Amino acid sequence: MAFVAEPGPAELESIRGKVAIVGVGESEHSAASGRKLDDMLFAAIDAALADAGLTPADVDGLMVSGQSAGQMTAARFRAHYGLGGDIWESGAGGAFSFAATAPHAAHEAIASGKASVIVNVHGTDWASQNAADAGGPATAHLAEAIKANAEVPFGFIPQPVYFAHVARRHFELYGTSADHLGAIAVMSRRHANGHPGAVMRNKTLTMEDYLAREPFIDPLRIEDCCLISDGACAYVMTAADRARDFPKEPVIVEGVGYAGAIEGIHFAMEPEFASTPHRMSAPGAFAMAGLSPADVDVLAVYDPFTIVALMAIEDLGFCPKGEAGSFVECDRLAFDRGRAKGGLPFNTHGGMLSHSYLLGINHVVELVRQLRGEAANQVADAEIAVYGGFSGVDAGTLVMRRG
Amino acid sequence: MSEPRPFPLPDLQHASTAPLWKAAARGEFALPRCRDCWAFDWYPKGHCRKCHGSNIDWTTLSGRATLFSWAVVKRALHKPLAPIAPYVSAIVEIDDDRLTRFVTRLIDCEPAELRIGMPVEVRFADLGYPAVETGIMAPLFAPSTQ
Repeated sequence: MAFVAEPGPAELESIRGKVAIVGVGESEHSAASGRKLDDMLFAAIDAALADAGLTPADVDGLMVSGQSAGQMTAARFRAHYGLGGDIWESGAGGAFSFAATAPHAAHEAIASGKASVIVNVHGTDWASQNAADAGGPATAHLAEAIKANAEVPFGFIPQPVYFAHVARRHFELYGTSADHLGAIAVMSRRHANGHPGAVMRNKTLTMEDYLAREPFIDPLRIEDCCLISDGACAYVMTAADRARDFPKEPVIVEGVGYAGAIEGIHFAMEPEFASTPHRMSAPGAFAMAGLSPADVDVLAVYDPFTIVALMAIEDLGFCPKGEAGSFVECDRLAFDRGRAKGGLPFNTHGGMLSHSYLLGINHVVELVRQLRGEAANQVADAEIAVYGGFSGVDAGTLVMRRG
Repeated sequence: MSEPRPFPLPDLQHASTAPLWKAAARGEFALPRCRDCWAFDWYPKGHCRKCHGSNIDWTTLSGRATLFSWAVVKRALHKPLAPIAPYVSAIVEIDDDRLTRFVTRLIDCEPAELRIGMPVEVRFADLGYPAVETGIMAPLFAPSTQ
């Protein structure tokens, strides 16, 4: 199964219970730092291998985001650690939606004997690139011909402008308001304030602070937009039947879903404009896992903007479409208001809004720690976790269980 | 300090979009449309989404549309757009086919009075109106005066 963004949901063979995540690691996360991407990638890999009780020589598979620049290669991995031998290599991993679907592609490699211990890794130096005015998230959008010739000249660039239109539409269709977006921003910050690795660990944000800010791309405020960070994360996958051989309690992959947006990178043309492809990706993942949203103890969603997180909550099935605004009121998303109390602990590390802009792979790292019981903002009795990955053109859903 | 970058201009020769800009230079708003079933081909795929034919032609339209969504860009994050900020970015549904959207910029409007579903109409002006003179006429939109 190649994960390419064909419109609509992908048909995925079940891998329920086949793959385990046995190690997670990350570099330091920061604003523009001048750190080299390679150094951050190796820091994350070193940490993930140490967490799994492995050495680099144990690794025979490497997954990265094939479309992202500067990611790890098998050749650099071997050279860095002074290793010979073959390493299975795949561009179907990394972050975004692929932090959710990497276990599916990993299973194919494991089942066919191509690899047995696979590291999925992603890093970004977009904070340093942005500071140098040399790239960043808009690069691919500026390069696309239709956008360059029929959107950018009108000022429809970059992503905060797109999602301000989406938020406006969601407001008008469903009665969503700034308070609802603010609830996402404020809870994300509260979680980051309790997380020692979060970029925004020392900066508080109250609802009063949020509402006092003037929108800069109305209706979005700066606090509705994710951070731009430098950092890297990695996780280690292996066959679930080997998972007990590793030092930490394993996390078992129960379900994976994937779907492409109907109009791809042309967000303005998407038929369901105030929605995300999560609505097409999630049903398959929950069906594979034999679970429903009501079974989920902790949720992490790819949150480039508060409005995307809000839509993800409804599109993943946690509330009816259009009702996420009222759903997120009254601290329902707090880590300490668990499922038993009618809550939905959400982005317990602070997400991309307040932890780090690691494009969702940091969300998977956080969920693994939640299921092991070693998270900073620990959700009581967390057994089932869901990651909703997104990239604008697609969505990937990952359902995990404490092993 | 980096050099100020020029206002983002379309490639007037790019096959997929050149007729849009050529029409605007004539004071016309045109989009590609299937000659067999009248479905619009915007953004251009080069074949008809509805009947899958390839008999696509650019058609001059009424220029009337309905506001689908908008954003008031007070600070342009894409630096070449800074001279026109604040501006109102918009997506409109063209009245000739409400399933077809067009990305544009709203001018001569009061942001507080904008509403989804309100009628708007094409207003040809320099792409950089009112702050930058690019020499390229563009199909901008404004609230309908009728």
